[in-house]
Amino acid sequence: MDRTADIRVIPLLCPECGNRLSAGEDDVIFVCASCASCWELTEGSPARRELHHAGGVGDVRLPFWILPFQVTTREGAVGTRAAFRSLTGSLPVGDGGSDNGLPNLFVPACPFPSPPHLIRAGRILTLRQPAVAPIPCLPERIAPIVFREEDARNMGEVILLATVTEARKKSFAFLESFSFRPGKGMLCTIPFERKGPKFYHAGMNLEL
Amino acid sequence: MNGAMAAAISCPQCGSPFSFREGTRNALCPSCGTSLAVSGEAGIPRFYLEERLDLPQARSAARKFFAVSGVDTGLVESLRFEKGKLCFLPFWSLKGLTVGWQWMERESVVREELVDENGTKRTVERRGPREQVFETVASPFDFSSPAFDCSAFGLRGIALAGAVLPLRGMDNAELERRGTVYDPVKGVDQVRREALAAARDRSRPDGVLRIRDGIRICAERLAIISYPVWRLTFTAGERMYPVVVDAVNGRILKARFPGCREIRLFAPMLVILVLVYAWTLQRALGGLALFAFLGWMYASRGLSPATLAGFFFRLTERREDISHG
Repeated sequence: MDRTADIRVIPLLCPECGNRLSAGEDDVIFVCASCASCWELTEGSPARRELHHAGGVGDVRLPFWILPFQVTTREGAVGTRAAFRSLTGSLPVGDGGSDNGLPNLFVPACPFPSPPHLIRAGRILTLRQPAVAPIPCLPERIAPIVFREEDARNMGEVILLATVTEARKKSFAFLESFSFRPGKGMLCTIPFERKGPKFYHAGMNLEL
Repeated sequence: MNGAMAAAISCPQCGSPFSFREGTRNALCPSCGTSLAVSGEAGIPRFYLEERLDLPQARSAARKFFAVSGVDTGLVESLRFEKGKLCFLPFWSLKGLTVGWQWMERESVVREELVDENGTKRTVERRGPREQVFETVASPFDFSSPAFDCSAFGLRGIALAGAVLPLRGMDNAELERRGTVYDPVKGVDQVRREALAAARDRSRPDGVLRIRDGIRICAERLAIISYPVWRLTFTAGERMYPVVVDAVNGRILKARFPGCREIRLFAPMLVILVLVYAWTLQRALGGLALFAFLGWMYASRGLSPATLAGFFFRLTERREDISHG
């Protein structure tokens, strides 16, 4: 670490295997291409992070923070997928796991062309509630991870509100009673097919 | 990010210089190919902008300003340069994303088309029911704010200047040899609060009756950027005139300079004429006029011989000092 000036420059080397970590200008989490470990800089030193990879086919893996959550509104507590579907007025699509399990919030960890696209991507995946089964694989073609878990928590409320029906959101009493409690986040990559500026997931019949 | 400021720092692996853009987190060393994370004390990197004007150029900028600001040319020539000091003023820079929601209640307007007995149509606007609107807020955010009270320097922000100028990694020891380095007084929490308030104001529309929001700043990147200014002091007689010159573009940020001289003939001439005229009419009237004048002088300026001499013989007077910035 260079400390000659009042600015710190930290070389990004994998603490596990010593190889160079590749990093884009805004990356906050770095994946080692040789040993597949994942690192985040906390207070100037690298700390290990778990990075999971969902199965499937695709030419790019988009990273998402997956946060199990509970919500309380004036209509009651939402702590299951079935209750969440009722809150959003959506129908079950695909295999989202048990109806009694905690619903998951999907927050993109990679940049999108604009912040509204980011919210939209999180909203679509959260509404779908896809079951993400991590598989062991070598991380390849992972989109840059530019949002920390803390950022995901900050973005969580607006993504969750984006899933709720418009009629509910227009009620001030509903918003005032709305309380979002996210659980511990899991960082997971989901494979997508890139077609121009859009991403497709054939298994989920999803376009971002 | 293309317009962001670039800073020159050296790579700790190979020692080669590399450029780093303010507002980003990492850079790539062009020589050894190592990815580098750039940070600072408590994770906040500090940079400074190199001055583009040296002292003679700053003096020349100040004199040019005097020449075009209505200062008497004679006075400009009489202004003597005393000293100049380079100062580095700290500014906070916060970049990130604002995300959140806002709920608003506003009045709606209903337009009705009426037809009168002559068949003429006219549109009438009526106040409709109140409508509730929910909006999602998501946009990039760029905020800059002084990190200390710099009202004495006349500089309020650096966003525009900062967009095109090269940055350097802060080196206090090196900078203190060249000038005075001001430390930031404002804390991170206060900057965050100010930035959040600015983000809320930015997304607040007009004509809203009630508003609630849940706006947050995500992916924040904080930096402190020290901006160079020249603080010059000129003197004229016993008076001192400070001038603050932007050391990047030569703009005069704050200045005080002497007002123009004006010739004052009217007041003494009028007094003399009135006294002489009154004396020629009647001596008693002349005496009365003299007492009235002395009474006025006593009440307003005093009756010392110097004051009286000044009133009658100092025929030029300087206007009040002019302040700029």
